[in-house]
Amino acid sequence: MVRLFHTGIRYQTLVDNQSTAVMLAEREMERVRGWSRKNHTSPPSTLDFNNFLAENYPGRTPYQDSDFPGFEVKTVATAIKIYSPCSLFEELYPVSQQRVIGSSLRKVTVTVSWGYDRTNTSTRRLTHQLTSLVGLPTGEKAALVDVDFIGSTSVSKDDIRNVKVTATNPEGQAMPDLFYNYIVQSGLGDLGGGFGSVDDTRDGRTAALRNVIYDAQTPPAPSGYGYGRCDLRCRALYRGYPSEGVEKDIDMLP
Amino acid sequence: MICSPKRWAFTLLESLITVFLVMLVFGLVAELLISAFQVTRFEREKMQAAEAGQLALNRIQCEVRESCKVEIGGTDKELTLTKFNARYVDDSRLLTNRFRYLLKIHYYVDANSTLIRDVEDLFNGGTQTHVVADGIQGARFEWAPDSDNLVTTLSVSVRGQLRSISSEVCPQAFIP
Repeated sequence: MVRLFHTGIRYQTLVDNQSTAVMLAEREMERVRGWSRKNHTSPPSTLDFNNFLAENYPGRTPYQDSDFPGFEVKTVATAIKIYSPCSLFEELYPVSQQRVIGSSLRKVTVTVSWGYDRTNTSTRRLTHQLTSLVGLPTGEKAALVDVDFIGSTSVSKDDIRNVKVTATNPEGQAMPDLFYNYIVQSGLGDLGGGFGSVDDTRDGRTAALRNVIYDAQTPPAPSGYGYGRCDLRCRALYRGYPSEGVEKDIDMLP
Repeated sequence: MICSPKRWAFTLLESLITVFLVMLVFGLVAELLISAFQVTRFEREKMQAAEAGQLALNRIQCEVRESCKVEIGGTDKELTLTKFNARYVDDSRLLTNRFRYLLKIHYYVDANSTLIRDVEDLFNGGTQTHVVADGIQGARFEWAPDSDNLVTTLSVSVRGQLRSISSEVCPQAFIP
């Protein structure tokens, strides 16, 4: 009977300790969120979210909680990718064509360990793990999109120019997770009237402009050329607001 | 004369000693049981108080996360949250209606040690009062200096002793 009560009290203590560990883990997770929100919100972001894994986030160095001696708290952040709109749809495509968000969130795991597992002879510590995703905190400002031509802005007939598109926040930190759409806009005046076709990937992060006009067949075939100047507009949605970059006065040569 | 066969039995003294020993053993077992039940009852009361406080903390945490404005007043003893009224979520998608349908939530502990949640409808007018938890001796709300998280501490009474439970939450408020 003494053994029975002793076992009961021992398990009561175990439940108490587990409750404490859960509380400590949840608190530490909120501290990581708060730290990120304080330092990564743009503006005025003081740290770059892209360097999250290298930064000194709360719990990265394991520590003993001063209020609960014997409980050690440790936080590990790792990279993780998600799909837009969801993995169910996107994993149907080859890896190179999937719409991936890989830089705007981190997988954070908080481990609280205490005591030792006395149900066996090993020296394994008792642990509680809590895992959650911490996302890039956003501000009210729109992203800045920059479109660059690789090579000359004069494009010969049937020639192709690769396009490099980048987005940054107001602090100049890269935002590599946006998806882009492209519009070729014909120029105005005597030098205008140019047109071309854009061949881009599903996420729009890689694109090429070709001096050709395709017909409406499937697959499309070249039907003509739009001589003159045109603009290439690149648009992304960030926090529901459109952000746009323009490469102006592209000269489509005859 | 026919004599019955000799039968063994306790003498009065032996019986008294036996009764005494049995009572002693029962007394020891009863003492053990009483002590164990006392410990169990104390732990249960402690857990019940902690659970009531924890439920209140969880409710506050959830509401802080969905609030667009978080204010601390009443010398750190009152919390005021401003959030969107989910009843008008379709209408408030229009930019002009963005801040039209708001609720103001007010958390505080009244004189009867009850954690109260007042809900003020800023669009329709009127205030509703909800009881969140009983037996809360005090509440304290403060900002964590390292992370700007909201730290909520509730004091609960366990058999006359005050115990405090606290939680930390990262608000998503975007109105300063």
